[in-house]
Amino acid sequence: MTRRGQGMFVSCRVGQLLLGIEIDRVQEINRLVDATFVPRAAPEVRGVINLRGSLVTVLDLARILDGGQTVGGEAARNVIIDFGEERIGLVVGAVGDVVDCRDRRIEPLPAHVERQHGRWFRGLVQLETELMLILDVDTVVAVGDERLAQAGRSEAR
Amino acid sequence: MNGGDDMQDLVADFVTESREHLANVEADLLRLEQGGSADQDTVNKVFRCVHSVKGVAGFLGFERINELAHTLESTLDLVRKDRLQPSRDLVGVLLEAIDQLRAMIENATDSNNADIRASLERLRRFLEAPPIAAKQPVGDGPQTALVGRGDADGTGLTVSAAEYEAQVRAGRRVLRLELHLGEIMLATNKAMVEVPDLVGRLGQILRGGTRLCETCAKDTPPREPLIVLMATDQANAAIRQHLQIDAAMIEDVHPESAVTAGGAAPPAMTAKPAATLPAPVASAPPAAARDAATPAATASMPATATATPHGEAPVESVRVSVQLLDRLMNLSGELVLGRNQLLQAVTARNDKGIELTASRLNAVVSEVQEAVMQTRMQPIGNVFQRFPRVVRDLAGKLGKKCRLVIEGKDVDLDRSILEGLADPLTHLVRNAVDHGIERPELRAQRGKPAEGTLQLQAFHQGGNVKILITDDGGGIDPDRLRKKAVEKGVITPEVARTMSDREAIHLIFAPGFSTAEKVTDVSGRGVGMDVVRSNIEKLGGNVDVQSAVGRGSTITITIPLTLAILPSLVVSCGERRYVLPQSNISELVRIRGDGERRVVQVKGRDVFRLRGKLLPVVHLRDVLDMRDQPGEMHRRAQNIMVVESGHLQYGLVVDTPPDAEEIVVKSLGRHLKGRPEYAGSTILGDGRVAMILDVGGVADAVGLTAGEGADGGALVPASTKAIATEDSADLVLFKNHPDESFAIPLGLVNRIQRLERNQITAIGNGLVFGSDDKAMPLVRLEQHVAALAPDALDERVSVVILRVDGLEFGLIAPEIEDIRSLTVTVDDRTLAEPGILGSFQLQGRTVRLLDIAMLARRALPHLVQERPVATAAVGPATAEAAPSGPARVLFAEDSNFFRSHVQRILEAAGFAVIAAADGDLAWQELQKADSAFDIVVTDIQMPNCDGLELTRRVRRDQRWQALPVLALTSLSSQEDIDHGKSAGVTDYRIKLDDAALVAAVRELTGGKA
Repeated sequence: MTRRGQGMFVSCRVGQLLLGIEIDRVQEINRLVDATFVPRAAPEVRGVINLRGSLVTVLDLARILDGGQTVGGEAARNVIIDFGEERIGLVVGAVGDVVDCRDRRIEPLPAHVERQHGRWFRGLVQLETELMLILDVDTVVAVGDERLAQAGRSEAR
Repeated sequence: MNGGDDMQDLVADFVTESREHLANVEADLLRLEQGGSADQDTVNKVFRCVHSVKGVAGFLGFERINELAHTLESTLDLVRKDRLQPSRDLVGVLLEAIDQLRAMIENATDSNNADIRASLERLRRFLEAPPIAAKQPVGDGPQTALVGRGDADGTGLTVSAAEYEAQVRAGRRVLRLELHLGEIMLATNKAMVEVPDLVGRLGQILRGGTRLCETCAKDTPPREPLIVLMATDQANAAIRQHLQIDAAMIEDVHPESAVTAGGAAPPAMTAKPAATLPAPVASAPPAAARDAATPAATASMPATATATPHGEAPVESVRVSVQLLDRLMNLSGELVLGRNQLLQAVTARNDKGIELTASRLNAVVSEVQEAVMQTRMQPIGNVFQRFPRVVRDLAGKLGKKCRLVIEGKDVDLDRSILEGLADPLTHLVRNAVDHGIERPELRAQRGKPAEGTLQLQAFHQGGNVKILITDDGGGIDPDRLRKKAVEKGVITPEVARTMSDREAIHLIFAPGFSTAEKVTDVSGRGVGMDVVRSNIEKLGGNVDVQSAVGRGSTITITIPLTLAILPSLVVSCGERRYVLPQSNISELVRIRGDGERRVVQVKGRDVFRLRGKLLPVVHLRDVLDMRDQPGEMHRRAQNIMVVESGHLQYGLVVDTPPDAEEIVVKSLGRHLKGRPEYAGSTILGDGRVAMILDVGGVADAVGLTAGEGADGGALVPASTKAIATEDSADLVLFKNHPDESFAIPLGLVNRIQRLERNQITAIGNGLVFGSDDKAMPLVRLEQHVAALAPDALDERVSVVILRVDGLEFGLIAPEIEDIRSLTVTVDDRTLAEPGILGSFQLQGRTVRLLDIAMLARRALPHLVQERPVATAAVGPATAEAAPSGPARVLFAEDSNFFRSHVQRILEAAGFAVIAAADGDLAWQELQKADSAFDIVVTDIQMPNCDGLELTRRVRRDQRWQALPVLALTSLSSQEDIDHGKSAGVTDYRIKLDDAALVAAVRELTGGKA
């Protein structure tokens, strides 16, 4: 299904990937990438930060997408997404421009992208020089849920 | 309970509350008048206010207030239904009535003497005004058809054919509902005054609504059902669901059924006939009134409503004592003073001044905080006060008799906690009445008073509040729980068999586990104890249960005083910091790496001794997966925080001594919620985030559970493990009779076996059972010591296989309770007798410690005497024995119990034993000219002069350099042994491993005995 792009996206880099995050979902972008580490938490959880008095769980996007880890360099940023009941930070390698995709088409992922990998994206956009993958933030933050459900089942047994 | 005080409190509350209600009513009525139409929200608000005044007044027996409020309410109801217009005239009358109501409330106790006839009269004028609200002639008139059972019950509940048709045209059916108020309240968990609303939500009440409101205001559900006619578009199923009533209580009403359904008349109603207070009749409101009201008003009202703050939802308020308010005022004055001093000091760069002011401010701020917290505190009686009703109604409904005793209702709790406690407590109280207290007949059979007693107690303990719910009912049957748990697949049959009763009882907290044998309509609605537990845990508390079959149960809830700010200790582990709530911490211990109090290994688990008690030790580094990180664990001072959660107590080793800090708890996000190690997180003073450790969860994470490592592997279901305990000094606890507990040192137990009844053979007076092709004697405890006989032996019976000096025999232990590591103080006098070493207290019970050697001698004299116990002498030797006689043992031990136990063991093995209560006394004994000892056996930990010091003294003296010294300890690590060896100890033995001890003594004395 091809559909009309309808929004503006914050472009960001995670490893080699260029990602787009719907700007409506982004509350803010900051440099708070050094989160308090939480031992025994799921691997993608980078930790917890104090965002002006409230606590925000920070996930490492690289860890979720390709198993790598974002090294907190100068360019690294924490993209805070508002999910209503809580806010979650996604650490990315760098943040770029806001891309206006209202006149562009969001294409479906090519068939050869595996399901496993493809589920994180809602589609892609052809920019002048490269492809931007549109991140499905809801799937990304739900990353731990299956595991939790499994843990819950095995505990119940 | 002191009735007088309670009543006074209630009246005082009623007055304040009503004042608050009525204060707003005036403004609202005036607004109604201005608006000129019945703005639904405002009318409803006024209605509710008057309604609550009415409800409480009725409850407190202020009839006049109740009556006036009721009439007011009826009038307002007409306004609400657009059948009366809030004209100037009407509002005037309403305000007058409100004024009178207020006056009566201010003088509530005298209010029954007030004359309200004039007010009532004026209101009734309006009540009777609506043209169509004429009194319905009962069962009369050409247009009236009897419907359903209609007037047969004399309630005057009829509907005219025209009205019926109008409803049908509007797509509604007319139903006759039989409402048993008490049942509806219980089933829907609503207060009585909420029932009319509940019913009203289903549709339009045609008849009986007034009586419903009226009855509900009395706050005592009548025995007879109330009949209500209503028009509704809801399906019967939806109605049944909504009100939780049976299908039989709903009857479709239509003119035709009048002929057939007149038969069975329900009990006659005693409520006031409809004539005195005409039921509001459903009909079109006067067209003129509506027309006049609407156009302008509907346009302007919503706008004004949103613009004025009055239109918003009422702000929750708390009552604060003036005294507290004054204190806060003073404190804020001090804050201002402090600020000014600080500013001055800063401007003058006066460091000393800044310091002084800062510390002063610190104190003031703490006081402010405390005072502000106090404003949030409310007596738990606010929650408890609903229970007399709940218990009374429920007991009546179930045909039981139950007395409720409430203690400690003055205990204050944070209001948010109180709110959260209401539901779980209600559930527990209902459970206790429903499942706990037996029916009077059964109680009589069991020899208990027919009236059961349910006790609610609240009291402070440490930083917590404890709430006990105790019933003297049937108790929780662990076997039934086991059976049920297996049926439900919560645990496997194997686990169920090996599970102790205590563990089995905790199964009630397992998710999805309903204890009710059959689901009653009272409890067992799928809301189980697991929900209670999780609700209480959400409040930061925990819940525990004790129960004895036939004697009742006690549920213990432990709740922190306040949620908002938690006094805590911040500990660090490496660079990271973690927070532990102070309420979980019982003490802090710092031990030096080279001291004797140190962490040692027992059964592969680190433990440490605290005042004679062994506590398991958890290294925070292990929990936090930091083992690999640098940091020496041993040979260095260690900070141990002794923490507890429920019955679980252990030592938590942290890197640095903790700092106290008061924290605000923040909940965890979805990605971290599942981690049991954390209870939440917080922001520390420096702005960094720290995780709050969950003491129970940390124990779970390292697998610290009850009965760990014990033979028979006490398996604890996941849901109960946080409640389990572990200490150390191994004892097998069992019951011979349900009322009597006994303990056997685990060292003497070979194994525990379950035998089928048919494996046991009676030979002569004794019992024997076959095991590994040989017969083993079986001993029944009650035949040899003063013990009650077990009620009856089950098909399968537990037998503890004991080993005394090579002789194996079995002791019937009908109910193995637990295998536990305990350090106990044994009273070797009160209950001692041959076969009983003494007794100790365990969780409020007396447990008798068996003297197995003596028991064997008494029970199986032939077998014991046949054995060649010693070469030189048989039986206890004396200190006067010649040097050529049995080997002489000097035994130093501070614990009476161990001293006499070991002495007896050694004497039984043929040694002559001189016992001393500490190292000093032993040293004096050793120096006596006539005492030529062959060996010194000593405990390590003793007052005055410990075992190592004694050994050093012995070794320093020329005469005894070759004297063997055997050290006894309840724990031994390689470090301990090295330590002892360097002091001159010849060998180590574990306490209570009697056979090994005897063998070692024999070996070291060259087989002399």
